[in-house]
Amino acid sequence: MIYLDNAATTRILPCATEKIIRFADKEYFNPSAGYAPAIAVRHEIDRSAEVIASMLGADADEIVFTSCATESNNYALSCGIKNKKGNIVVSASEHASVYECAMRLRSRGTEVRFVDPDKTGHVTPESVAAATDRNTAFVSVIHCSNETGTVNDISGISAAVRAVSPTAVIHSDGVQAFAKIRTDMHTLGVDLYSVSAHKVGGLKGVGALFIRRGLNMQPFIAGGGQQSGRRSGTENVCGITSFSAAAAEYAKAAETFDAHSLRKIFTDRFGGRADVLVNGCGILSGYILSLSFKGLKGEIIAHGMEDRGILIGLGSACSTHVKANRTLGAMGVGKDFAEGSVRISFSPATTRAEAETAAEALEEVTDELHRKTGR
Amino acid sequence: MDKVIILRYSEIHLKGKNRAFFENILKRNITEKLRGTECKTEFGYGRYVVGGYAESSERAICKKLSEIFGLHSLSTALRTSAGIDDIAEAATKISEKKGRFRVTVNRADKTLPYTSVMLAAEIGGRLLDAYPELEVDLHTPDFVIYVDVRSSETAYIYSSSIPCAGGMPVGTAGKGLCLLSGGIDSPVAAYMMAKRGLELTEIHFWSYPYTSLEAKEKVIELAHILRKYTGKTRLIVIPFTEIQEAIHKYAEPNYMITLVRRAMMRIAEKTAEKYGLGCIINGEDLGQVASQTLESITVTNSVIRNIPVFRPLIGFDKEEIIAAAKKIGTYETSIKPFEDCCTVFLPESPATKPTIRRSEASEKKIENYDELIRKAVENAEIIPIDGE
Repeated sequence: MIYLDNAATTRILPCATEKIIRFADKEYFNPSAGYAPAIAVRHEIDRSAEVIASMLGADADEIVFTSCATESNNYALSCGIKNKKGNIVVSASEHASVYECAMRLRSRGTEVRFVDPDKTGHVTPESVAAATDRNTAFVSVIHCSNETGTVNDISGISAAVRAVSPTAVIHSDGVQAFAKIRTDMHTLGVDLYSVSAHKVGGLKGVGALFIRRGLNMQPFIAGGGQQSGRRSGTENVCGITSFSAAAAEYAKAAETFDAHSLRKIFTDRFGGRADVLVNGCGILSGYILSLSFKGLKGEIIAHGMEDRGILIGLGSACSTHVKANRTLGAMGVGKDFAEGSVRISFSPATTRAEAETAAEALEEVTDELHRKTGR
Repeated sequence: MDKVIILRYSEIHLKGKNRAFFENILKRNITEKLRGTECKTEFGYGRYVVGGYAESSERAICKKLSEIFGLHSLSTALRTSAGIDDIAEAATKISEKKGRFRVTVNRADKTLPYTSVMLAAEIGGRLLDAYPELEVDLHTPDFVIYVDVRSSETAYIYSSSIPCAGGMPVGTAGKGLCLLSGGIDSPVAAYMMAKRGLELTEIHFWSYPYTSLEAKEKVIELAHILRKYTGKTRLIVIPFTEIQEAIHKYAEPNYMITLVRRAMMRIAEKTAEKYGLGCIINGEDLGQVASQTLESITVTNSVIRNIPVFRPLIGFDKEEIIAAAKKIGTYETSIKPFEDCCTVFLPESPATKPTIRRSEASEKKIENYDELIRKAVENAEIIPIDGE
């Protein structure tokens, strides 16, 4: 089997599994308890926060662990909006967990302004600035698109927003960027940043939210006061400790992994064809490739690939069942192409040979489908 | 004194000499439904009772029983001897503590030393003694205490009834094959025909890779939901890809759906013959979509030679079908957005008034048409739908 849906989830790294077993089997103590073995567990959580923080160029006390990046995004959009009368600016190419929160705010009377990406898939500082005014209370722009892999200029966006609305809280969803590209919070200039464990070799059900020191955030989940009262609920020790182990190892592997060259195997094969669109260009992470085949359906292409032992995605796995692809639609991709979209995503474990086999199979599958479904 | 559930059957009491046939199948279905549940069923003459269960499982047992076709209603009751003191004690236990009430007595054993009226008055009096805030009202009571005295050993005391699924016991009307697409309508059609006593087998047409594994899983899930009413059944999954590709290749585009449905009906009839099923059921309702106009139904129906096709939803509005789907619990699964085979190769404007002549002309162009149909029937996957 060749697995090329790493933007949906990744295989858990052995170093993470080791942590999971250790804290499930031996050091299973509640980190809030007062006895020595429990305190040792608490220290492990602190160390995990330090690891994640250092990868974000932040301090450990700026990290709050959550149950997933969807929770992180919900936390940001629920508690990060200080000026309740202000407007919020959100890019149209956000993950569903940000987009749906924005839609909910809109239904409750908040003015929500959506900023479309340009044809290359980027949300530009200029377009965000154009939507921002003095009353803008909150801005959220995805760092790396989960659909196309385009990387937005978050530091440029932060600067542009602050020039117009200095008090606006700026959030970025960094799930597809974290451990893959540079994610330094001071450079990016954001107040809030969401990350997820299972996209970088960790366990599903763990995420984190960077909260800039000094930003006063009410807790999203109240209760026993864990994580300095910012996120109550007994910490997911297995999840958190394995998250930091996996993230560190993934980032190390990413340093020597050339995702762009794997992506190029596909773009070389399909780039020149009039019936295929390579969605997104310019600054890219390289880990995600979105292709649209005119007149075909993404789901059927994916079945054809699965029959050849190759697993690929259809765009965000969280929104596979939403009829139209929102991000591609906002980029101006027509329906005849958008319906035939597939997402291929790599991890440092992906080999060149796998990518070559998959690219060849993709051409065979789509050619065969054209033959069968064309008249 | 013990807690029991009293069952009442529906139309069966209208039956004459063949009543035993219906009763035996109903008893079998009840036993089957309660298999694995700790309880004891007693099938007396005209009175079925379930007892011997833990109090905590009473609700679950009632729920299961209420899904059995052929049962009209059930009541949770206390069972005592026919002694007045025992009956009064039971009545006191189940009675409300205030409000207007009456006591209704049915006395099957006429040798007992009291009449129904005497017993009702006595029990009513004792209830008034126990709860001073009660008031007798024979005409417009807030609640009724029913006392059903069967013999000197047995009386049932209960207060309310829970309606059951009604209809006829599954298996009393023969066997049928129901087309299950995965949409909202076909599970409702299956439910309605099972309610009239048909034992169902379900058939689904699967066009992988044009439809997904999830689409098939969804139909399996629907069959499992329907199992609550149909009893254990099986789902026949027909590999339909080759036929659809062939039709797409040769047919006029606007006849695509017409020809696909004709192929489905042919396969359904052959499958029904193969498994000894006496009818075909589908969820068509007149005029809902292009393939359900009078002309379309005429053209698809014309390929069926030997057995009837039942369309229980033919006169229903979509809203009525949706309401029924919600009631039987299939709606939420049906609306999961996985494509079924009817949406593959969908033409821009399907024919709403197809003709048999043009359909046959198109089908003649398809190479090995009969062979494709035969292969589809032969290569079907049979999925047993049993177990909870």
